[in-house]
Amino acid sequence: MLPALLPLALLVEQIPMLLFSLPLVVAASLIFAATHHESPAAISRATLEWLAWLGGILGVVLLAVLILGAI
Amino acid sequence: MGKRTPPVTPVSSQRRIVAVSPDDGAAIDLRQPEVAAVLAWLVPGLGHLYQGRTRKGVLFMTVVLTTFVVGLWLGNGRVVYASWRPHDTRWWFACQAGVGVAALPAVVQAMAINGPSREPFWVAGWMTPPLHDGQLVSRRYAERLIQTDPYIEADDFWDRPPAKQFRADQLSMWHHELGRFFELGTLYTVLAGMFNMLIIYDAWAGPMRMVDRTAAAADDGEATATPAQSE
Repeated sequence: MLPALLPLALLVEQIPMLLFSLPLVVAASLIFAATHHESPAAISRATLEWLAWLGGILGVVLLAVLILGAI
Repeated sequence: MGKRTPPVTPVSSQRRIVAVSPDDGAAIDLRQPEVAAVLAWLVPGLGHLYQGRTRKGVLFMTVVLTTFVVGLWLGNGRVVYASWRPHDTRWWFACQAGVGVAALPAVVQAMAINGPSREPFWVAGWMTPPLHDGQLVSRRYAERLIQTDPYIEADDFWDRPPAKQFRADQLSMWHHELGRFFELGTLYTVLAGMFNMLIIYDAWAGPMRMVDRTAAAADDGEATATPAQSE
């Protein structure tokens, strides 16, 4: 179990902002979803969509930075 | 964007405005949108509670205030301050002020320390702008800083009766003390204020709508059609 988490721990140590940005991504997804919808079911569904979008965009940027940093 | 329609019932004494839910087309009673918007700015979510949209109100209040408080905690209470001095204009405060009452003490503190008393209104120093080199402060505030701030010593002040003159840069001390947490705290509190700007719009005009690109393109095509295309 612990060896499997090692790469993740190394990533978090290398990029400390990563850990602190995750709650902000969740909060932003919630706010974006709730300001575009009214019913709880639609808000829940839209929150997951926003999470995928924001997480995907930030993940691609992070990946690009990691690749550029490794070159 | 939320669709605003005229009052549904001709009630002369109280104006009522409704928005249409993008999910099921149901009417959303916005009551008096201007009042709701002001309440939403003062306390995040309060505008929605006023409109009877309780779940959204509680959700907004929880998310925005939690984000703001976590940001303050990360920044040790120093990341929210108002300053409009030439070399230390705190532009971030324009966004932080979006959370309303929770950020207003920063304005009071800034006006007080730059006023004749030369000390913050709440001497504990909460949300007070950092002292800059050459700034005059009251003796009481200087002594409090010497006692409570591990980075400030008695030698950091010149004696300028009846005041004391600071001769260091407190903002640099804060950056040295907090490191990256100064930026993190700033980011959290700024985003909390920006989130609330979206919430104020939701209280004023109802849920925003995603633009239907197909319909918009069709409308644009009709609107911009040249005579030749029309023929």
